[in-house]
Amino acid sequence: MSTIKNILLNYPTPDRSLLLPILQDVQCSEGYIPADAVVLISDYLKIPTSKVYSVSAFYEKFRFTPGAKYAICLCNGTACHMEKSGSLIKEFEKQLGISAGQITRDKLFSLSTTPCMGACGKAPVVKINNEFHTGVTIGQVAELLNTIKNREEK
Amino acid sequence: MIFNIEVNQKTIKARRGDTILETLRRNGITVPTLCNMETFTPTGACRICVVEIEGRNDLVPSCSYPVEEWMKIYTHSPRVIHARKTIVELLLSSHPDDCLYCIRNGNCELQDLAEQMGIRERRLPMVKTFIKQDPSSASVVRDPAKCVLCGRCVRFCKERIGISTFDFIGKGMTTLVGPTFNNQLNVSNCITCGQCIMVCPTGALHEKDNISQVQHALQDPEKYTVVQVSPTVSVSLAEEFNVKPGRELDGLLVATLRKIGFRKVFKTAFGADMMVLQIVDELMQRIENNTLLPMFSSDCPAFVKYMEEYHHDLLDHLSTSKSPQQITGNLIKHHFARQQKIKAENIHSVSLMPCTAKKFEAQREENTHRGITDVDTVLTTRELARLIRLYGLDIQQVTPELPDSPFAIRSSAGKIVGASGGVAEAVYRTLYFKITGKQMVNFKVTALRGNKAIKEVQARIGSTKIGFAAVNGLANAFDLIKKIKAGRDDLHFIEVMACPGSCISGGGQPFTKNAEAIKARMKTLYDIDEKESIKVAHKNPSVIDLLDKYQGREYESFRENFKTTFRPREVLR
Repeated sequence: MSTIKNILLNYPTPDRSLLLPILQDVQCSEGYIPADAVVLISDYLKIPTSKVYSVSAFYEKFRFTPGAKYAICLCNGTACHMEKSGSLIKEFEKQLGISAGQITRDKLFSLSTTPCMGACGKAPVVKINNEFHTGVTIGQVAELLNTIKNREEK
Repeated sequence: MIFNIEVNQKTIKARRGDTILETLRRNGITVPTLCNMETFTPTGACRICVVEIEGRNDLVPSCSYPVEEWMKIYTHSPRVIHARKTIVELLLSSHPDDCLYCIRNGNCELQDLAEQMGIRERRLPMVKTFIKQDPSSASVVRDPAKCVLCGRCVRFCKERIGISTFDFIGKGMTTLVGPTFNNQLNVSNCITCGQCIMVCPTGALHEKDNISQVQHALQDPEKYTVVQVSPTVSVSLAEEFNVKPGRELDGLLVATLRKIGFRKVFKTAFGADMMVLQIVDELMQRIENNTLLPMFSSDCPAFVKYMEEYHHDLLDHLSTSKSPQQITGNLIKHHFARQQKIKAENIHSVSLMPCTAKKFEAQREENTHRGITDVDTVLTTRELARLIRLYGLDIQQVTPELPDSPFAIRSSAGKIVGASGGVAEAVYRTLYFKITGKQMVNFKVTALRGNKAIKEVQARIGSTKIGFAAVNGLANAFDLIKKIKAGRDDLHFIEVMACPGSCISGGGQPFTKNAEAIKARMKTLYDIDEKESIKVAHKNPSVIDLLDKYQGREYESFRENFKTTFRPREVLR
């Protein structure tokens, strides 16, 4: 709540054109758009909540549930696909026990795919938060996940 | 500026600043539309109204394109017709094929368009949408599977009601129209006025159907089923049976209802008279003490819900009087039940209303006492028409009958409450008598009549100056409420009706695109007022009789039955 209020302080003159920048700031700092934020923004900009929700639901970037601590994003573009990213996705799904687009029950990992990350020369590419792993093989999946799990246990 | 353009190789006159569609309509050329609503900002969302303009490669939507001097327009060229037909076919490809089971079967705009376009086969594969209905609200059912995304409800709720319950959610094939967070309607800020139903072209928004409840009650030998008829239902029901708009069906309706099986038929206008007395007493007290002014009318349940959601600080300013429906309902379950020696729980009280919000009002907890609801089922005018058809009755072939005592007689003041300004006028008449002790010479308060958004009159009654205002269309009240919060103090009584045009064009009324029909309904109300001899609530002999039955402390507690309370509601605004 207080972080959202602080974000609103950065925009001293309320105007409906500020809706998107404010939503972006909230998404950045919270990782999602909390319900409270929708209400606060609507109060501040004098826009009905239905409109604030409508705008934020339009863009893929905004989400309404908290994301996982580690967001695993697999490239499934043409080059990665040729380098067997399909079976790589299956391996991740098997090891995490979730399918692409879902989030693990402990909120540690989420799994998603993307069309291309622009690193086709180093296919297949896996992105974990802002860390890129290139040329990933099926055998490396367990290792990748275990490093994170071990780090978390400490 | 007026200039000539060519349409379908004929020259017609056009006005600068108009859209192509407006020009065509003025010249009697019909172009089908779906998302278009007259007097609203055009959105060009559905593209049904496209026309061909010579020299342009693309078809243009006539609803949102300004007319220009050089234009040569073709409204029904093969290319245009093909485009329109394809658009309708695309809409149908994601629309459930359940017209036979749909509440709008027979008066659906999408059905009409499909018929107009001559669509006889399914050319495009069906994309099934599995989205559940939202039956959570007491008044409005939302069925997103049938939504064609025209956005008419979105615009109406925003521009005329000012609540913005609905907006578009998501994009592409999965777009929905729904409340914030796609929540259910009962927890949204929806004020249940039902105007979204009136503008919905399909069955995506419709009233909650309560006919089966009434049927069960009618068949139950243990139940004593009674019905009350709102003064505005009898002037609009005619349209459902192809009778001239505005025809008053009063006695015919009473006879029909008896044929259906209702044991007693009462008039809600009786309750309206009682409400006027209640309001006047309270208003005089407030004027005397100079507190809680201005007083707002509280008989529009949609407006009451709005105040409970948005203006917690003004809740004390609402009149504590119950609405005519609830007063009549309370009298039926208590006074009438005692008189007839029937147990209140054995009475099933039905109310016929022009309004979906009344369904919500009937189930408010303030209107239930010790497990007994004052009004059990509320049917809208449209449901009433369905009920009459269900029983196979011809409303024009019956002999008119009189309603039942003790709630049979009304003053014409109780009748005009259905028109905008009617409550204010009825209050004016009785207040005039209570303050001066004299009857008005001419009962007509012209300044409070008509369809203007806000009507105000500063009246000198005796030695006091009293300000009346009447607002129809909730969005029109926002400015006034803001001014009152800022300190405007020359108004004493403000009538607010959430629906534009007030109850005569309420959310439960027959679907009509004809503005003349609404005017005819209003004219009928005022014509009745003109003709009748009892024009003031306090002269209603039944009301006087009823109040005379109670004396002293009993009288006080009897009058308490007509009071209600309001509470703040926390919703997502």
